[in-house]
Amino acid sequence: MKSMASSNKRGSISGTVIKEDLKRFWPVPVISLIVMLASGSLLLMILHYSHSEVEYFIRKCADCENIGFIAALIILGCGLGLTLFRYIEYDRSALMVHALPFSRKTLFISNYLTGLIMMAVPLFICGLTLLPWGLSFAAMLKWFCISMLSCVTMFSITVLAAMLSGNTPMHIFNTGLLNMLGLLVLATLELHCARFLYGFNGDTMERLINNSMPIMALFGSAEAKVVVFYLILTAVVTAAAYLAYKLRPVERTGDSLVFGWTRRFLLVIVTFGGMSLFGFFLNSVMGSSKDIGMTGTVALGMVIGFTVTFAVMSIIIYRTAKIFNRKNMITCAVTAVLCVAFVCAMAFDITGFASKVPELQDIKTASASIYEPQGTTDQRFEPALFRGVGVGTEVSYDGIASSDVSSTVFTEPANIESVYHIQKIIAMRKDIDMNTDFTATPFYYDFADSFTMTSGKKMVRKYTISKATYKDIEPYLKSLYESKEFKNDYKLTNLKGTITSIDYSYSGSGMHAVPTNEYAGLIRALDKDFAARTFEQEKKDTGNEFEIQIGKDDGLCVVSVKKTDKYTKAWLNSHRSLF
Amino acid sequence: MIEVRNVVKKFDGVKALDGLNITVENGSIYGLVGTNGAGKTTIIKNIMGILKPDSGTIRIGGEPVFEMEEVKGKIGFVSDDLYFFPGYTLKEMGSYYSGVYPRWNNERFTDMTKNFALDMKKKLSSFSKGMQKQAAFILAMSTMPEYLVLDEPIDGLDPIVRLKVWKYIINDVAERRMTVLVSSHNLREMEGYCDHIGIISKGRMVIERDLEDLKSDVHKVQVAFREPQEHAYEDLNVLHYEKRGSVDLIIVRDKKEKVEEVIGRYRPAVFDMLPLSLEEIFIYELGGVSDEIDGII
Repeated sequence: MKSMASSNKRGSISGTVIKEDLKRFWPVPVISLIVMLASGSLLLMILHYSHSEVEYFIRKCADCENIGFIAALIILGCGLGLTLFRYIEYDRSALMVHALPFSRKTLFISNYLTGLIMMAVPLFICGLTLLPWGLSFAAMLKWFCISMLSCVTMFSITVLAAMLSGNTPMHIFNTGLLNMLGLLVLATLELHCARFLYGFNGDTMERLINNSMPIMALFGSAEAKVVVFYLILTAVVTAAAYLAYKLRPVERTGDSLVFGWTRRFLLVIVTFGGMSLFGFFLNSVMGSSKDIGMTGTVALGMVIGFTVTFAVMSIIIYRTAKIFNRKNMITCAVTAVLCVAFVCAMAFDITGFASKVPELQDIKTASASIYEPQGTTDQRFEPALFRGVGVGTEVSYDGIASSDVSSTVFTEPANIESVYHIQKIIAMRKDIDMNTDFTATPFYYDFADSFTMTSGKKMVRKYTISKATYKDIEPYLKSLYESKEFKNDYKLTNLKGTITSIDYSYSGSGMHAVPTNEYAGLIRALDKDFAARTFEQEKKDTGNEFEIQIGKDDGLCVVSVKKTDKYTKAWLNSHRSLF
Repeated sequence: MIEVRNVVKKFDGVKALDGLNITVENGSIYGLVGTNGAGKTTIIKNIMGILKPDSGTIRIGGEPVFEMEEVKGKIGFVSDDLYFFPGYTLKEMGSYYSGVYPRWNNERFTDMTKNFALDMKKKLSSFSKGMQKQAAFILAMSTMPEYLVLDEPIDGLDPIVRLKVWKYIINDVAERRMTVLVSSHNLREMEGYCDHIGIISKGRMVIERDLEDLKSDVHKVQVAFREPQEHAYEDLNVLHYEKRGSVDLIIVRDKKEKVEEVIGRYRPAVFDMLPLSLEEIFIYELGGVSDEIDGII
């Protein structure tokens, strides 16, 4: 070891490699820059947009909602990863380059560094060309950094794919697979959970899926934790790529995958994905077959998907049609056992997910969708308006999205007990409800609830339930709706932000503005009606007579005035002279 | 010195090199010969640090070679399977090598290019295979290597170019004590230039000797006795035996004196000792090792 260290004194970065890479692969960044300019600054020069249109266009560019920019980032990230390390995929080039006086460390670092330079330069130039169109320097820098991180993440993943692949077609395939691995795994898991786990709430999974691709995640939110996640991911992937290069058996060049374990891993993971997708696809096409039922169509699809995917992937990976050998059959059997074990674990709910009801004494807070959302025009139940965040912003309490529940967090014991009883009833009836597609029946009810335990743990569920189950939980829904806690939560006096206007309208008439000095009186009347309204009135009294639109600096709150709302109607009658 | 000690390299569980040992002394030209698939290219790739042996050690000038930039910087290499960057000219490749090899000699590069009459500004991809081999040789020699490793270097070259190639090699061996390891199937040419020979088969070294020693130790003997002698060759290391009428044709690996003494005991009617060419030695030495050769003999 001493002699090794003493004789390997040259630096880890080779200027010659970088210079040569720049000389050979300059078209990749240049093409990306042309694409960005053609869909950015140059396009603006040609189109003669108005000031507001330019502002909108630039915002779209900065948010990476410009298709040209997205394409350029993919070309830079994946294209450079595919070209810079291409030499390791051909026998002759691998032989020549590895015979040169470079260690793999020097080759890796120098080529990787060239990739960073080739990404940074066109992105920075493109950013500079956006400045004359009104993009601030700070916004440009932010765009540059996020774009750079997106590109580097894709680049690192593509480099890792290069280190694992033995030839170019497999490198391209693995680049696509690894770049979308998070998305594909999460989407496949969501399909399984949604199908097999009664009560599964996919909101968290949806958020993860939306953040599973660097461009989508980083430009979508640019939250610090997302940025940190992608920085760590990039570092880990780069380290893995470096390690793979150090261990890469050059004699495997030309094979599909150079490491034996990756062949089996790829077979298992792609077969699992193919099996799942085919199973759920057949289910969506055939629906619930009369002969074999919903579970039967899924199972049939999975068997076909497994067989086809395993056979095709075996042919691709081993580059031969002779796949029926002992070794591959063992892999097939192991894959089949793993797949069956997973599907059975989900189908038979071995964790007891669907039957779970928390202990009453362990519950700290509870939340439930106590008001049927379908068919209502009342925007009173828009939680964002009561929380001081913009309308449309997802307000989530105890893990349930605002679109699913009223977002009231119940802390009173009586209300917690009501949610607990609802959960207990639904869990008891799961065997009847979970295998029926209620969306095809005249009545179905979407219900969601959540619990936060004293230990801090959360339990979140989302159901589509039958009419019979609904009838059983209705008394508890009524109790929750009429509770002081719920009514207080949606009192209009609790609206956040400043009210800028109140308009009143009724069928066949236009909008009538309410004078500012009358706002308080009208809101008091509306709140009194809401406080007095029963669950039955809320449900049945859907023939809204009037509509009150409360304009706020952060959105519009539309409140329906029902036939039974006597206080509001009395207020309107007494102020008829105003309209 | 190039030292290969007990190197094992497996491909898919099959041993391509099976405990191979090679010693190439400084300033010598070592010819590595063997049948197709014997492991010549595999050991060269291991010596060049392209492949990593599964076990065993490879040292060049006392230093391990795998992943060692400085050691690799002292080795010039001409592969059987040539590769140049796409679209590059010889001048551009030379420029690249000059940044890579610390002892690159541009004057030699220019001189050799002129001597071999190659167009420096023409794309290497447009060169014939033989011209590409010359270009690779020029590049390797211009790095002023302490060690030169050549894998089938003269295949596809015309006799005049071959002479030029050998002239450059021999000059550098004489002037700079360059150490050369060359693998080839052209045994006649190896016989003319190499001072050491290693014959490998199935990944193992069959025989590794000074060429003169080797040639003086293996003899083709024609013998005829007046009376049949059943045990006449018992004390000799017979590589091959053949009876042609009353004359025995034997290939013996033993000192000349010993052969004369052993056969002389039986007072033969005919006794001729003929020198063997390297090609014959190769064939007869491998006759006992390689099944392919058995068929030929």
